[in-house]
Amino acid sequence: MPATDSACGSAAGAPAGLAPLVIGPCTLRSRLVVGTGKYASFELMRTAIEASGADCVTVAVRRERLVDSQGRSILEFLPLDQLTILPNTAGCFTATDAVRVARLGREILSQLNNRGAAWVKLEVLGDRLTLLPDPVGTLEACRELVADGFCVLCYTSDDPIAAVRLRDAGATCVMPAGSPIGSGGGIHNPQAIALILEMLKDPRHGGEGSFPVIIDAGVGTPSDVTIAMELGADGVLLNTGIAHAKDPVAMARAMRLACEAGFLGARAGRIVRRRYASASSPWEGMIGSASSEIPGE
Amino acid sequence: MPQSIRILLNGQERTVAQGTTVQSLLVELGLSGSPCAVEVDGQLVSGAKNSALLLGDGAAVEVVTLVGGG
Repeated sequence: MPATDSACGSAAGAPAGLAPLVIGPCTLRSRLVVGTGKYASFELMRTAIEASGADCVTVAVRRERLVDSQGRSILEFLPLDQLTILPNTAGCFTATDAVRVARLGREILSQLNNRGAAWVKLEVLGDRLTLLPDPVGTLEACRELVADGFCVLCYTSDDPIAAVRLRDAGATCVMPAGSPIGSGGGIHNPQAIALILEMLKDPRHGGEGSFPVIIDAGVGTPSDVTIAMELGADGVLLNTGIAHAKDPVAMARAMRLACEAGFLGARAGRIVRRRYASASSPWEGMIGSASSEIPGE
Repeated sequence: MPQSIRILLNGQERTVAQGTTVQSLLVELGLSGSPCAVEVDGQLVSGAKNSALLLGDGAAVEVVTLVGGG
């Protein structure tokens, strides 16, 4: 898909050398998507989001606080004209609940005329301890939401077959976890992530290069983000790694730079790994005892 | 004195006047100007702020909004 303005979002303003991220009908300037939960204050959240450079943020759907209806809304702190809001189905343990929550989120975003109204970040969890996804429930909900016209961005485990099944069910984007949500564990199984990328994006394996794969969850440090991007992911989605950092704003900036570094590095073509050293300074012209010994020759 | 009915609002019992609609409930809750979505008995009410859907006795009503999340 060409990197141009589309029905949702705009490629304009993408940092130099960085292609925008195209997900279905939406084009994002930044490949870093950030969550809005767990911040000490809405003000801090807003500043951290700005520092992250993200133009897409996730939100959750929850019951109104009827006791404190004068309480501030998160929406007052999100520049809705600049951000694509990605509503999630976090906390749902059944496909039925996830579909309900997705429809409620769409209803609210439609009122706000936000670009994210057509989107949902689908989570159907299987276990409270690990927050690992329920693959059966996720697949069931994905099918139903796709049939209902949603662009479904699917949170999934790092199981390559589950990722393929979700793609086949019509998911717009597959988002394997690096490690459990909020754990900061990084990318536990880079081989599995590499396989997912291969199976979903490599035409030799039935994939399509433009199919977006985002690493979602468990990313704790900037180096985790870079590793995900160097593996070939199209983007990274994270929340806790920034929100619970000692200095969330500084960490947000670091995450942005790490994402850009990983994206550029992956496309720059890394060197081949070698078993032995390869001197960067020439052996020729050495004085002293090394002058007569040129290793490897 | 209008008759009242009992509804289950966000999981808690609440008494409202008979004839309460989704729209008037949101006004009563002070949410008519807030971004929110409503379900009645598990069914999404599209355009809730203008909905004339009458709430029946025992109706289960969910009023939700957006909060921080990952």
